[in-house]
Amino acid sequence: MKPSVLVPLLAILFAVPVLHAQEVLLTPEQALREIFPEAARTAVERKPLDAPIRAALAKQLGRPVLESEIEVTRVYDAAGALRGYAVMSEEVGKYQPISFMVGATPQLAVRDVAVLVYRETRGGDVKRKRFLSQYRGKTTRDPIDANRDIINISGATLSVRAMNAGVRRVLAELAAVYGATPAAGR
Amino acid sequence: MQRQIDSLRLASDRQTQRIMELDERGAAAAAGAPSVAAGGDTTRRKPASIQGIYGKPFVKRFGSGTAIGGYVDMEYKNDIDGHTSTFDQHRLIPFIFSEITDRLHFGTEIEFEHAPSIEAEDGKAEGAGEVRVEFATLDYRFREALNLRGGMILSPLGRFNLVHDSPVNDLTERPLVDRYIIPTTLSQTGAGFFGTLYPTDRSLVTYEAYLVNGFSNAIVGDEGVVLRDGTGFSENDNNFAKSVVGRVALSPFLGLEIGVSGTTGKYATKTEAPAVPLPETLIFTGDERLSIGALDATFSRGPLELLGEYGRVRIDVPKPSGLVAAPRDGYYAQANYHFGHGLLVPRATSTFTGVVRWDRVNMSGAEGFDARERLTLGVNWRPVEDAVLKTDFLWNWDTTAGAAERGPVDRQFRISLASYF
Repeated sequence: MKPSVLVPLLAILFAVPVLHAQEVLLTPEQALREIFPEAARTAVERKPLDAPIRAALAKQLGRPVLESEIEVTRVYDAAGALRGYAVMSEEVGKYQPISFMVGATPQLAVRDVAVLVYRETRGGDVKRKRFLSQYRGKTTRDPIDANRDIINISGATLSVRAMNAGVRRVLAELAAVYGATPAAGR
Repeated sequence: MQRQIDSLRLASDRQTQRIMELDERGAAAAAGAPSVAAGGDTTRRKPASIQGIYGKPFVKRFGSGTAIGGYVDMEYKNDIDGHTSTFDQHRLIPFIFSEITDRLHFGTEIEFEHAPSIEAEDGKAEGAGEVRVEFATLDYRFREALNLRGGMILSPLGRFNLVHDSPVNDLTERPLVDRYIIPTTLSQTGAGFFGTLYPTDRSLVTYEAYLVNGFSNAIVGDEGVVLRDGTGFSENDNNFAKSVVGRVALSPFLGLEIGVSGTTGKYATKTEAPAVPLPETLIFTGDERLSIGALDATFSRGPLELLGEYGRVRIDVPKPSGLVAAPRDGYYAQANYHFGHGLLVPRATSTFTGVVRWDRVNMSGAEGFDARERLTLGVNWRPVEDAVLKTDFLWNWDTTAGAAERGPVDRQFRISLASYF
């Protein structure tokens, strides 16, 4: 086969997206109920992340922050007290994005994390409670890093890394819009 | 109340819309967008003991779900007391993995050891180094708890045999127990099942169980019982008997795993006694059995990892040979401590690990010694999780067969580079 034919053929071959079974684990409502079972009322607000905030976040996180706003669901109990914040986000694991929700206390400590959609064929152990419960109580002061304060999962390092990066980013964004120095949450 | 329900529903609708947006972005990412979280690095570390091929990194993915990857290691070995040193391009191991369908998967690993240079002359291959198929398996997934596997299977005997890739391990040399008791890398042809069960939210149980061709008479030879000399029959079993090999591991919570594994089976082919038997003639009845049992454990908490493995061999040897069928066993205990995160570039992933390991095997005179002990101290640096520069100092002590006490120390120094690619 001539190279002139082979090269476009290989290019097409490489460009074909790999199909994976998408695993929808929770709806956003189910995730919210799982993290905040006492939720009686919610209010959604969009907080802008302007250029100076994004620059500060990029410096803090060591990577660019592309979002121009963050959508936060404020969660209240039956007595009308603020119970915390919920943010849906996503990070790319190896090839596919992992959709997850981070629930934080009013002091901006992680209350819980839930994975809503997992699309990769490998590394799915990050969706399980035995992994996700490690994030409880984490704040922006914690490294949230494998082999430091997060136990890695064999065979799922990229998914672990993605979840760590996602939780770190959401906490930093919440701190940026609700107060840069959150109270200790543990 | 209606207002609250409406509010929750509105929030749910917004989040659903958000998921749909993310899905669209996900499709775009699947078409080639780089991983932001990984900084474009598509490597991974620590393949799971049960997952085998599923825990390995693949950096090139072709259409139809086929991916390739591999790992390489290079070593500088200095035997201080032996006054020898050499560079060794030890392993070059390509992987191929294919998702033939959602349920049917193929995986293989081909091992090139010591930069083999093999030439065929007059139909006979000659040369240095080693080339072999380390495993080649077809897996069919019924559900997560039940998968069928067939082919050349990496034997689930101890944890190290399953997780032996150089970039994963923090020391250059493999544990002694995984050389003399469990002949790592041990793979055998057969078929069976594996799977993962989740008894509770926090725990999991993994299992693998296979029928395999087993070992052969070749484990008993001029040097006594050498297990690694009689493994890996892929075409013809030397006897009708099959061996069983399996491992069950319990992880009661993330960070702790305890595994029990074993293999047993008749290994020998019956041999007829010659008319005039020589003293060194080995005459097998065909009923000789080889059994290996192993216990392993790993524990992780923060930057600290503890791991260890114990193995024991029980073997029937041909009676007239004069070989002693005493059991042999061994273990290793290792501690890893991660430190210096971000000290060197790339700061996001760079980390150091300090390692200490103690090895001991009791050989009952087999292979020329009663016991071998080793202390290893190492420091390694990982610029990313899947590439490592290791420096190790080793102190070895042998107790030769019949000796009352161990011999003088034999010191060694190792530097090695290993990486997935």
